[in-house]
Amino acid sequence: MQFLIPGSFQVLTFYICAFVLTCGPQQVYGQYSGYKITINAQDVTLKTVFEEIQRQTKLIIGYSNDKLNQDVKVNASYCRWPLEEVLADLLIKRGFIWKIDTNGIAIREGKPDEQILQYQRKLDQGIKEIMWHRNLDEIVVNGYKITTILLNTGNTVPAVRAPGIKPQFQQTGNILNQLQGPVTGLQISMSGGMLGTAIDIKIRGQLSLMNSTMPLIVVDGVPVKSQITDGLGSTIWGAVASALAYINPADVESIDVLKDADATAIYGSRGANGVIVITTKTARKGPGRLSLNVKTGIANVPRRYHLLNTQEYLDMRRKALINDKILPTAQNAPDLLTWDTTRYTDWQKELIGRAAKFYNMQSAFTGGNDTTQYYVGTNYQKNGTVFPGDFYQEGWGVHLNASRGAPTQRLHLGGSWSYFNIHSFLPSSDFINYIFLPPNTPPAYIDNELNYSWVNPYIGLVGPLFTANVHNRFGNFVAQYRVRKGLELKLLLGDQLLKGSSKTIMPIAMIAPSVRSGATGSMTLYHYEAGSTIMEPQITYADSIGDLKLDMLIGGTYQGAMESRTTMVASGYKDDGHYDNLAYADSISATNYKSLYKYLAAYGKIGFNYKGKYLVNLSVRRDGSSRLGIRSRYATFGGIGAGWIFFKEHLIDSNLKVLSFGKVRVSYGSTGNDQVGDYQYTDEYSPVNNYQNGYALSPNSLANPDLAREKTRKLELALDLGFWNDRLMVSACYYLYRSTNQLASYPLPTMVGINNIVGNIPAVIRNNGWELEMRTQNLTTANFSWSSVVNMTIPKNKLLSYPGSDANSNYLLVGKPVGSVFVYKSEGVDKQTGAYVFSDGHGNTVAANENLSRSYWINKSPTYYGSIQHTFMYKRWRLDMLFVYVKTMGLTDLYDRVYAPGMQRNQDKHAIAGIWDNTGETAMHQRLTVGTYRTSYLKMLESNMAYVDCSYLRCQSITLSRRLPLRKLHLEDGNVYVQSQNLFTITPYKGLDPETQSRSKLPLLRSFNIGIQIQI
Amino acid sequence: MKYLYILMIVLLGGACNKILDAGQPTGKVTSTTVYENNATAIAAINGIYSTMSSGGSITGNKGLSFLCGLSADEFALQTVDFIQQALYQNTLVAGDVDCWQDFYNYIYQANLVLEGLEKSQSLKEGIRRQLKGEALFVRAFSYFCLVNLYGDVPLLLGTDYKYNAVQPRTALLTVYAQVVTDLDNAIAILSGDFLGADVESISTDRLRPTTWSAKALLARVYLYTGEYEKAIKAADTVLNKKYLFDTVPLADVFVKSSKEAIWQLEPVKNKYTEEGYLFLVDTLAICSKSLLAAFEPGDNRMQSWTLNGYPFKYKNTSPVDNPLEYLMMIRVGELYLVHAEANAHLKNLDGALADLNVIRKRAGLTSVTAGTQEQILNAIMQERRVELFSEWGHRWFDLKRGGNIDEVMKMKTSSWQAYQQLYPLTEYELKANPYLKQNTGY
Repeated sequence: MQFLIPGSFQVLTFYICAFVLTCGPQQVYGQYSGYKITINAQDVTLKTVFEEIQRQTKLIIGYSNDKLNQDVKVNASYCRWPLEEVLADLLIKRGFIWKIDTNGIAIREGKPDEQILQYQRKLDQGIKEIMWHRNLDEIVVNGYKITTILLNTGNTVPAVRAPGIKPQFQQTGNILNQLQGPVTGLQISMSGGMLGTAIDIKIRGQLSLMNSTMPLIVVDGVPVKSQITDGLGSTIWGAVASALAYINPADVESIDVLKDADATAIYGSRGANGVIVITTKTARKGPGRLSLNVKTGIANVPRRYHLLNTQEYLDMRRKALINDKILPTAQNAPDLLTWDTTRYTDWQKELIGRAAKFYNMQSAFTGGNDTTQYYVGTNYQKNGTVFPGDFYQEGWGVHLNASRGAPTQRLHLGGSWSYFNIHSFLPSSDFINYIFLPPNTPPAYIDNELNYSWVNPYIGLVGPLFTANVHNRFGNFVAQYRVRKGLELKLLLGDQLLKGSSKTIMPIAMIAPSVRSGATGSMTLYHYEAGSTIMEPQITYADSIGDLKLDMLIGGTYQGAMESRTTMVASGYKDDGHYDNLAYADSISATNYKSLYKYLAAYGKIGFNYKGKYLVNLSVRRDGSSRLGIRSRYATFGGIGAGWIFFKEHLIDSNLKVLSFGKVRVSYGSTGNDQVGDYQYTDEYSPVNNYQNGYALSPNSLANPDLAREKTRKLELALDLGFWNDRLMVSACYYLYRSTNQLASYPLPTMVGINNIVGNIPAVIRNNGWELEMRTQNLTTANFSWSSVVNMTIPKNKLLSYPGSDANSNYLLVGKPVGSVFVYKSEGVDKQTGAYVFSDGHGNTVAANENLSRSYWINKSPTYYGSIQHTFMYKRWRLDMLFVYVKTMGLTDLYDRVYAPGMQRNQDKHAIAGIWDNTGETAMHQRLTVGTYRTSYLKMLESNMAYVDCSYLRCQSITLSRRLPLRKLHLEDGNVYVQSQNLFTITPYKGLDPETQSRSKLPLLRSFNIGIQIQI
Repeated sequence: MKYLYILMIVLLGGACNKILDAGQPTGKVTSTTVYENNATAIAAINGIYSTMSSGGSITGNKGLSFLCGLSADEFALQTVDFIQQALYQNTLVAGDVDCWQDFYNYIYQANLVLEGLEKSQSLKEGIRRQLKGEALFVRAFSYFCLVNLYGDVPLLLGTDYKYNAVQPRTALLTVYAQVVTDLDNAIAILSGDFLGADVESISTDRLRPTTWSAKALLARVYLYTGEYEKAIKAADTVLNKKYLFDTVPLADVFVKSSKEAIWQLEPVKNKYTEEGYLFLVDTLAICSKSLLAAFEPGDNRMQSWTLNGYPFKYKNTSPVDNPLEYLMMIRVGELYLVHAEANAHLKNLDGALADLNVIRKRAGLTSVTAGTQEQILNAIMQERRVELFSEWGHRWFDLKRGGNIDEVMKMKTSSWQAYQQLYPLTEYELKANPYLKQNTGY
């Protein structure tokens, strides 16, 4: 444990030191003058560009008009590029060179010398595109508005940017995986390593007592379903499978994470948990360009349990029987008496030890002229599993985008359409559940026939088998019309349809042939459908009055969403050959559920920008949600954000040369959470015993016409600083959220008819914390550069008040973090009896069968977390590394939840270390038992002993790539790369995975792959 | 900004509520859909009968027959259960018994039905009327039980939990007035025939309240409130329907569809009554010595309705395909005694004796031929004791309204105090509704 807290700070300190040593202010910037140019203009004359450079640098550009045609049209898109490289880009290909001195830039015809060629090379190497510092002119989304990092008054993290083709962005799996690490304040926990398993995501902590913390996820303007309720009936994905696994990461151009009030208040009832805005790839002007990316690799389970070998296992079993004074019989100890005690099977290796192969291929074709552009992307992927048998997940998809309308035209039309589907063939239950089988189990196959004489996990290859197909398609259409300069009308229409069907077959073949006669098979079919349609008209207006720039937006939203689930169980199949034909089933039963969700809103936003230094942004939204009770359907939310870009102030600019950037921000506002579940406001009837042979229904929940949103007020203060020409950039942010109007089930007098109701109570949850980020350019030479990003989030959470909280709600006590668990206090092992003993909450040590109280609480939310990123570049080589770290407590997966050590299950060596052995010595674990002491073992699992330090430092991804020699190969762009995800984890945690904290779900896999990408 | 806000309000005015209507979830049953369809509307009222008949305050070891029998002098206790001990010794404390919750649950269900029917447009008129009558009847029945157990109780006639949760007690007479109103309204719309499960066809079962059930209950209510003429009038209309209602031999009284029955409940949980199981299998209580002593020599009810000292009105405790007995809710025997008592109060002593002797004759006893008003009233109360024992807490309620509870109870429990004739509310209820006050004494 010790290593982690100091460790991460050491890392931090190390960077600060390294930075000071390598790029302090004393350093001269190589051969660069230090001027930075930002121009973003298409189709302008060279003359215009020169004028802009003159304006920005205050240097006079001298050139001969005859030789250099200054009326030639160029596209200039430079974001804080060094002047030299801008000039290289503009001039070398035209056969010109330049010289910079204190007065100006002199341009003349000529061959570039070595010095100038270096700039050219840098351009070729593409260093520019991965500028080490956060590009302040990078575009970000602030609640319907596109702005830049520089001018943003809210907190938006541009989490993913994948311009062009970059191997380090070519992640596979769930798109949410990519947010782990780079985004401060965003905490992701995966529940398992299989594609499709649930992902828990929290932005700035747990804001709700009962309801989802899932942020609003908007893809191309369409709010999409983030979870598949009931997980298609799968046990391997869990009850809430992630629906975002069905968005292809290769189609994603950018992901923005919106956190504070200024950015999220305009999302009203859906903004409290934050908003994740995903934008898919769009068409680019130019001659048709084809890019291809192919990669292949393997994935495996990175860590193992230290399970007992046969001899150790048998010793444990014998000891346990002696301890409990039970004579072994063929019934209670087949492993000792019936089975071959010399056999050994490494079940971990057998069942989850394989290397899963995966392939991934993507292609994209884009191009177009001034008025029409198009993009066509396709992809195919196939993943094996680490299980025995031929299980796989295979998918393909298409992404289309087209737009029409030149910058000079009034009307612009555009649209996107994506389709992605994954076919999964998986075992119905995770094989990891069987790795704790005794190591001397009988053979799985005898003469190539399955051995049914014991609970053989290989029966899982026969059944139950789970087949699922999930299709996801979403698209949008955007029309924009410019009425006059500054005034635009916009209409967005969007739609998503997520469809899934699954089939789980329990064949007769699962049953041993000896008892198979008369047995029947069954099949469960599951159909899921979720659809969403949105319509958003908007009017935007921009104007300036003197130094004051003004932009306004008024809009409306109508969204309708639908979710339906149908389950059908067909049973009584007499043979295994006809599952697809329902006529062979004896009986069929079905249930269905369908719900609708409707949402309506009007919103407005107005931004003021005075002299590019003083920024104010106001937003307001009034919305109504069908999820809420009829008396509180509508509510109004609003936010204000203000920023001061103070480094531009003359006083600072002229006195504090070291400061290259400085901005303070503050924002405050209110947001809501309507994720209370559909139709929670209605009452509900359930069938009771028939009366007079007729159907009878009885109400079991009350209608609540007052069901309202949970509300969160958000306050944020932030400071962004850049030093030494932005070679060091630091941002610090403090946030304070108060979430009220919490939905909870609260008691009512019984005379009301039903003595509780789900309704809003004035409980208050406070989330506050610090988010820190530091970006450094550690080293830059002509051929080498090293840059880093380190961030850390220190969150705090507290339930400030909970009116009426009483002894019944002892899992939830005021003053503790929401999500704390209350457990028994372990007092170790009793020296005499050898059983676990506990504190009774009044200072006495008592046995497990006494009346124990859960007197001890454990905070499962992290103390801090963050990430460290490095990018090294040497000539054409590039190395990207991303580490994530978390400091937290969690559940150990070392102990079997059912079988105490000594029972018929293999154990991890750590779970039986320091076991009580009747010597009167202090023991770490209680005596081995075959059942007599199981009660105290199960109580121990509910005690603080079962909660351990789950902190870790994980190498999330590492990518080494080399840019291909483009000219030689006649390529536009190209890379070859090797990549690894989840390469290693440093943790005091003893089990498989400190993140999933589960011994029944496959842990996150470690993968290695190689790939090539080219653009022609 | 201000204009923007005004614009929004205009945009999102009342008209938008329609747009935001997400309808009803498919695969779940809500009160909006229940009352759009005859079968489910019937199911909603069946739900009340089904809940009642499954146990709770209606029948079994938490039913009024058992609880009030223990509180009064009907039973001797056969268990060491501390709540039943407390009932028997009249030392209840808050939280021991909770009939309140059950009856208010029936009332809530009835109110939900009434509100649902009010809004519904698509039900058959005949069915709608009958269901409304049944709901009013159930509500009246529940309030009658509540006031007799607890005194003043909050009068809740709707389902708005916000309103209901903060209501104080309503004066007893106001509650009774509502009971009378509900019954009058029910009488006007309830069927004169016992109906089947479809609420249209006529059934031999007496499982759905009829206009006669409401009249019989109304007669009881008028007797309790001292409006004897009205009680007689209400009882007459039922007792005159001889083709439908009549006394039957003792052994046949509690069997299903007996002519004695004015309303019965079908045992839905098991195929036998919870009452039969309670006294014959659970044997938690036995008839008290004083009750057994109250039977005159030669009273056939002793033979027919008790077994080894245990109440033996319901005889079947084994599951059979077709239940032999239904739970008796209101019966002719009681109505004769209501009629008799009202007559006696109105000094129509001959009439009173005639009514009384119908019951005595059936029990194999000689007729009472003469007496003063007081003697005849005493004879009627004595007859009620042995006729209606172990049924519905009649004895407990009779003692309370008879004014002689203190002297009777002191003979049973020396520590008896007058306040104990009302049951206490639970602490939970008082905490959840600060406007409720505990019954005095507790």
